[in-house]
Amino acid sequence: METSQHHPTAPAIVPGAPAAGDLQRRDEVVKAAFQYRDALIGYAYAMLRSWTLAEDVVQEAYLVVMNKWQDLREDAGVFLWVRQIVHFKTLEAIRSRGRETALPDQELLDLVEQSVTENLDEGTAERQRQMSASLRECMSRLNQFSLSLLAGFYWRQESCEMLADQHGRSVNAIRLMLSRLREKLRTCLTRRLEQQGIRP
Amino acid sequence: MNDELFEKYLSNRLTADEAAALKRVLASDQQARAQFVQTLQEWQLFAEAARQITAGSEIAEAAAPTANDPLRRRRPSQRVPPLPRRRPARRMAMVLLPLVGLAACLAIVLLMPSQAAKAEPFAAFSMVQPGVVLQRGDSKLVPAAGMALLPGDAVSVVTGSHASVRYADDTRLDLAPGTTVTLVGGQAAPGAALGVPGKRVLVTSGSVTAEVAKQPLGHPMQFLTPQAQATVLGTKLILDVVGAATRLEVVHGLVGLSRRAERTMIEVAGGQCATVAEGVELAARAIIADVTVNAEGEHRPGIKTEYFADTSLSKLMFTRTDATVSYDPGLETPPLDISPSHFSVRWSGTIQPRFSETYMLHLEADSGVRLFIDGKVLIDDSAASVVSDHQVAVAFEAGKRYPLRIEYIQPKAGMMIKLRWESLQQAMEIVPTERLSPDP
Repeated sequence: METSQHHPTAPAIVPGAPAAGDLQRRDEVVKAAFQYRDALIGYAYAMLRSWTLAEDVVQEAYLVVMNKWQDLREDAGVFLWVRQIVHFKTLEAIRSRGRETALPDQELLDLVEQSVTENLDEGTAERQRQMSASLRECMSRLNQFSLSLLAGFYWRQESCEMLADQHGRSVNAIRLMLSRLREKLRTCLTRRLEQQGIRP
Repeated sequence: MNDELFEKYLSNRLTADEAAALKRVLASDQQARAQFVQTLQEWQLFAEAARQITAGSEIAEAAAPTANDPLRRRRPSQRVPPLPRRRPARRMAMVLLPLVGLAACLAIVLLMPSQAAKAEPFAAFSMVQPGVVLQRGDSKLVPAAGMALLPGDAVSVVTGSHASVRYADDTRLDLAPGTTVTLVGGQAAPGAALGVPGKRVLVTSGSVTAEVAKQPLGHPMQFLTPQAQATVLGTKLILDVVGAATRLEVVHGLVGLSRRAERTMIEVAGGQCATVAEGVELAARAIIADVTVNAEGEHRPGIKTEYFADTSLSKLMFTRTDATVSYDPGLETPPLDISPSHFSVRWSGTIQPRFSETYMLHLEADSGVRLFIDGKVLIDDSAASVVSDHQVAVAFEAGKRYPLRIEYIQPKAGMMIKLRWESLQQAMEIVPTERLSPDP
């Protein structure tokens, strides 16, 4: 397909790929790949440290999956394959970003990538998915203040100093609140997972 | 130590030295690498869940792309609305419902003048203590005494601080700790510049004491809270926004008071007070000696909540008014302010049933509890250590207020408690705010 030219960094075509037109197989691959979206965004974020960029990278990776699903060997794991695509796309984004800002410490990035690769497999991705649903339930019980702190700190990446300024609190108070919120959420998450018979 | 390094890396705030330290940690320790990924996953879960839950709210509006992402342009600044802050003990703790913020935002939008209009100073700070923040457009400023105020300026006073504002006509506002106000209008000439002739003060939270000079005929000063509108011709008043209620107390003069959603106005004269809250009759009543306690017959919604730093309900940490007795599993505000373990809580006030019939009260808790109705102990399981749903049948009379007291003892960590009721006509529910009152 013509779009395949747009993704020269995708994994090499594997001999013996399923014949084109095998829509059922395609659907299976795509569906499986989408199951790991959160974990893949986390993987990309670990190196990019920008949620928006990480989401873009994973989105681009899915375009590759949609167009090159035949390249996946039948006996190969979807997760590892998609993770590899995300890896390439992340490196592309870092290179592209390097044109505008200083390139990050490559040695550190390699170590981060090693850490994530060692510890992020299909099992952890699935567990993360379960935890995500439970955590949302826990968070839905938080008041707006707590949510605004969490969204500010974790999503918008605002520092404690910025949050303190926004909310008219001391930096230490913000740190303390975040720390307590984390503890409460961990406790809640553990309880909910236990209720579902999932080992946290 | 590692956690701090991981968090700094993930939030893009690693210094060169810290980067070197992180490299050493990750290179030498496989366990640390696993720990790093755990932190990453937690980081992502929190970020994603916070984003999803706040989607659609004003917080999500503010959830622009990352603050320190060099590749992304931040959306026009949309700040998280000012926070409700704890009130001084004299005035009870303040709990603003989420709607309050939203209503306040709406009110600001409605009242805010066009940016095209040129704003001119119309008031100034006469006294400012450290901890006061002035929000002017997208900028946050640290004001000083004498600094001019422009229409549209928002002033936030943190706990422990204080500020006073004086208008050109000598009208004065004293802003208590924990107060947030937006000043609009106030031009000397009706219709001048911003099209808001009279002075308008939007009180989002906290307590404002105002001494209002005689206002031009037809252009009274107005104080707007999420619930109420107080129209002032010239008087001294105190306006408290506490939870979902606004309480007006007039020291001298005359103030017209109405619900925001209605046009019916009552007059509150010097020596009188009135409360605007759902389910509370709008009427002026005489102020009793202690103005922090409500006037006789006037019941505010919610329930008085006292938090103690011990398990014997003796070392009082703070008091506040809560909307309901419902915490699960300790994620709401109280645990942020007290020790996460070894504490106790007492809720007190009254409960007012809708129907004359036998209710089943359900008190579910994960630790020791006692329930008193009308001074009688109905549930006593102060040694409980697991989640239990205690139930007791009580014959209530419709509309009567029964003294209610609940004591919760938590020698460990966490907090879960819910007070629900049900009857033949009453579906099971958390006893709602309007059926509770912190007043005896």
